[in-house]
Amino acid sequence: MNKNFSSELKNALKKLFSSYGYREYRMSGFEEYALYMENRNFLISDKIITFNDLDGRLMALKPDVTLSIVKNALPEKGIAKYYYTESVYRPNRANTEFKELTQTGLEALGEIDDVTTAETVELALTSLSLTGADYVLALSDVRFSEGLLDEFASGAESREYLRDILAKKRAGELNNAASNLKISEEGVKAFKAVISLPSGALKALDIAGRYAFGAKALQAIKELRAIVNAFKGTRFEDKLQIDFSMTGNTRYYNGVLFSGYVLGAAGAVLKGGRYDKLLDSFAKGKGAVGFALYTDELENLGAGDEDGADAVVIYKSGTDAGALFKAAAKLRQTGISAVVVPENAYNGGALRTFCFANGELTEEK
Amino acid sequence: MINVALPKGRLADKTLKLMTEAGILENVTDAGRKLVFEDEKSGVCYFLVKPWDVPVYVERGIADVGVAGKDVLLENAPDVYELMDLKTGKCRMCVCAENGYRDEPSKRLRVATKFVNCSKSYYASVGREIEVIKLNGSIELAPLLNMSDVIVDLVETGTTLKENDMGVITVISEISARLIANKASYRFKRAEIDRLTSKLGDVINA
Repeated sequence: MNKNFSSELKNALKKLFSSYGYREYRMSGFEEYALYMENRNFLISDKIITFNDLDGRLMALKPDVTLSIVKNALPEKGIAKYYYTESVYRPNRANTEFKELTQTGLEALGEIDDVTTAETVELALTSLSLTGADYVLALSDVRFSEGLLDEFASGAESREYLRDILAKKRAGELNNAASNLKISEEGVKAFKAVISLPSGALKALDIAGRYAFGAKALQAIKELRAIVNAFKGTRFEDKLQIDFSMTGNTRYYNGVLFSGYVLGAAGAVLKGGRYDKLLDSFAKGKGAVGFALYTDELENLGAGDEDGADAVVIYKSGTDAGALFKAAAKLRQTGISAVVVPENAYNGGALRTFCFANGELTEEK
Repeated sequence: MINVALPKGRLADKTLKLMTEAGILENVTDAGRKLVFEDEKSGVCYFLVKPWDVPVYVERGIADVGVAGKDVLLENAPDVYELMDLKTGKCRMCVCAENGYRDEPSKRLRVATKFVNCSKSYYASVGREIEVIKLNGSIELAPLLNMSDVIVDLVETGTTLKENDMGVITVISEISARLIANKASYRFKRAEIDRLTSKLGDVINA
């Protein structure tokens, strides 16, 4: 990502989150390794950079921000709202080396209700809109997908297989699954319908509603419908989609899940959801909802707006520095940025090129 | 415009035929050195790449959709959607050995293969310790020269195995070509992707 785009986006996000009353949370670069070990299933990868601190404690370079905030800032009463911009250290996609990634995100902790969840969705949508590219926020809910699995899976193997089919949208494998894992015809029909839900959120919820099994799944559809309706008639109306291929880790997530996509980035750039269950190991009965925007995933956006100066001023060796600086300053006063470069070091590529010789500045056409 | 990554080689002819029958492409061949083709009429831009690279192009969003063998998907586990079984390029991923081979369960099994992850995963599921020998081709040679005990490879007709006095011991997985999609493209180009899958579905299920 070019530096201007990256820092402008981070500043805009900070301004946005502050305007909603979220407070900035700054954390240490390290945490005790035990925190991550105890909650390793919450993490995207269990590979963590560790080291022994000077007092012998095993420490880790943080692979995640949420765990640190939950551990250190969970309020006893009410709701605490925080945002952050932090580096995390995780294995790269090929799992061959560690990578430093930048996350900007927010967490609301404590007495979480549906309005707080909807507000988080609004902030996620607004965050995506700040990238300047077209965007979509896909919503899911673990209670719905678990209801579907409870209804049609028989045993752990079949459950994992069906979960994978849902996550990868492998509708083509459902008929094989039906014969190999004894999934009923009704089950095949339900999974096919849920895998290929239409883009329109309310239409998708109408269809999904027919396959909501159990009170929790019905509640999930009700809550998703309330979220979608909250944005009816706003600029976000067409930006929400329903997609149950996001199945989430049920040991931590207990409600709505969301993934944000922007045109031009290959994968999800924003991920989040309702994760009350993670809090159970810290304080019973509390709720939490939040998301993180992976600004590194936005590297290719704004690629046309490269770093560097608008103009290059080329000077010959032996040029009087004072005269050169005056000429360059005069150029900068016109509102453009200019970099001075010796003749033998100029590699081309500038939008405008000027030559400084004999005390004169002339533009090369 | 929708970008489609298609595999060169073994799957190419079958995939191109399927795409042509479905009316997605016109008069396309795998011949020649041209790699990118644009069909403005149908709004499809397609490029021919090595079969193992198709999921890479799709995962990174360079291609919105692509055609990849299930073997490549099992081995590399790319973060993409597998929208359709194209029911072409069918074969099986198998454990094979020389005819008359007898397994020695007390010994660590030497497995020659191009499919390192699939082999590890299969033998882990049956609790067998193995030594994987990664090869890039002519896998059948490994047991014949006593470099490995067995091989894990794709078997289509079994002719190559027969010619080398070998046979299938176990079928690990049924393989066929799959239509895969980039997760972001699926959201931004849903109508085009749905049109493509519907046309392909009509031909496959005809």
